[in-house]
Amino acid sequence: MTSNSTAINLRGVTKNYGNKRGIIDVSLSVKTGEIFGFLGPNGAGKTTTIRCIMDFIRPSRGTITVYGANSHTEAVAIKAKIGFLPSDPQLYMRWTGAEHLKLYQKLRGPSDMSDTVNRLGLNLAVQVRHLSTGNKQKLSLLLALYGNPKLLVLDEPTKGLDPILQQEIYNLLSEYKQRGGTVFLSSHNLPEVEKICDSIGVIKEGKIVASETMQSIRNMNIHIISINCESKINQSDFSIAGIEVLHYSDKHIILKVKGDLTQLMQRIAKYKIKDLEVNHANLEDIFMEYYKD
Amino acid sequence: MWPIIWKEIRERKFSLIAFSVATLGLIWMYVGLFPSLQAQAQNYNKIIESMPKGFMEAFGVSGNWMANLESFLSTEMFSMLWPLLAIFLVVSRAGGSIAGEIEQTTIGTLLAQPISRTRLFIAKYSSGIIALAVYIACSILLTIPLAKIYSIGVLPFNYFTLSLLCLLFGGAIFSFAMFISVISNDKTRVYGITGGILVLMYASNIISGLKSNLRWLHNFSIFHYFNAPGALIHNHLDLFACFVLVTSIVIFSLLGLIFFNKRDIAI
Repeated sequence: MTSNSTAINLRGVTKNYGNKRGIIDVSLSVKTGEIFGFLGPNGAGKTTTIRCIMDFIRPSRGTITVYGANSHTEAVAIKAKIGFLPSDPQLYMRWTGAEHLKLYQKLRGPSDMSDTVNRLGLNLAVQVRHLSTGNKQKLSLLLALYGNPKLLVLDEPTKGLDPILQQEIYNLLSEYKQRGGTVFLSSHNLPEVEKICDSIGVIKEGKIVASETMQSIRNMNIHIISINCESKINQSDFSIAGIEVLHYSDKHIILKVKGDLTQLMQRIAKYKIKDLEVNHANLEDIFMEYYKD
Repeated sequence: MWPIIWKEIRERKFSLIAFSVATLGLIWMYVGLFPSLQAQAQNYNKIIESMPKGFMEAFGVSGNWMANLESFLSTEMFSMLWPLLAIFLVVSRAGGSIAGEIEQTTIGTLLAQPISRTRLFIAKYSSGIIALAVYIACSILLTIPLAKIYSIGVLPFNYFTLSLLCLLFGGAIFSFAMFISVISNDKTRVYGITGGILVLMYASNIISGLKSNLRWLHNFSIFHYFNAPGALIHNHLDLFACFVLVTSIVIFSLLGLIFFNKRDIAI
């Protein structure tokens, strides 16, 4: 069952590519109005999942619904609601940006994009083949935003863009979300996901290994603790369940601690501490946690 | 659907214009040369008569090939050169239309739009047939006014009959090439497979004309069903040939549509 508050719903989606692994039993939900970050290294299955959502490829098993409609049998109605940005620009090299917009206008109806064009600083009169990688990405993003769709499916939207433009895109996505839009984005850029996403899904070797809200990730009791002592540290003192040694040298140790810190503090107390630094784990630390082994 | 048809035509307009103008130029040359060549018809006929009969049949050459403009053009232009140019035109369009867009990943732009794959295929298919029709109009029907310029008598209906045959012939090859384009991921495969099969068909048609015991081979050649002299000189269309060509169009266009709807496009 899919409630009205669910924008994308994948249930047991598997895609086999013969001997090659695709995605296996992927289930996840994206709520309406949220920015969902889809994480995983190269080859984990992010793009395969996006292709299935977009009905470019068909799952071997499982169902995908977008706003309650089947992504395959009701693909036309669904695509009218989706703005899509591929990981690599799929643009006509001899066309200008204006010609691309004209095609979209004919296929999706008129929409005034002049404000977005100005914000992205895009010259629509130049043929795509003469555009830089960043400008091609900007044009692709402009086309994804065309007609203010209900849902944006973005495959690595800030790839190849400079930090200023990345920030502009975060602003655009934030405003889009405020207008009630939903975003499903895949990314390698963990600080970016941490900054803009409300929820994340982590895919590893074709399988979903985590699907959490950013709030629950922030609430995960994981700390990174760096200890500098005046005397030599005995590494075995920190062989406690829930503690992982990230770095060790004679007088310096960095630990990742899951859960309660009391037991660790008792062990630290027997050393003369020169410096102690305690940080909450960021998304990258948590992501690496899923990707261990 | 119209925006896609228009996009396809617009995107490939230069090749269509180049093919049409080049073919029209060739026909203009033949029409312009015809009056002076016809004056020396007896000498040419002696050469033709010395050739093996089957060989000349295979190339669509008859003994009285200078009798009128239709005989002349059917031998010089429509037995080999026109089909060859039409094949280049339709196969290159079919290759670029789907496999070429998959190769360049631009098909993703179209697949992301609220348009069904059926409509997308029909739009791309229609644009190819429109291009073929334009090419036929420029390279065949314009012969009539060209002949008038040189005060050469023509049989106008015969050109329309030939146009219909050419549309069926070009349409059948285009449909096959579109089917190959649908199941391929790059256009060179479309050119290779379609070109290879057409060369085999052409060779089997030639061999069947030279060897009486291999005459059955011509049934498997599309060139056997393309009787340009029959259409242009005698205003005759063989119904069985039309049936074979129309059946090929229907089968391969439907197969193309079905496979395009079913296939994964991992771009």
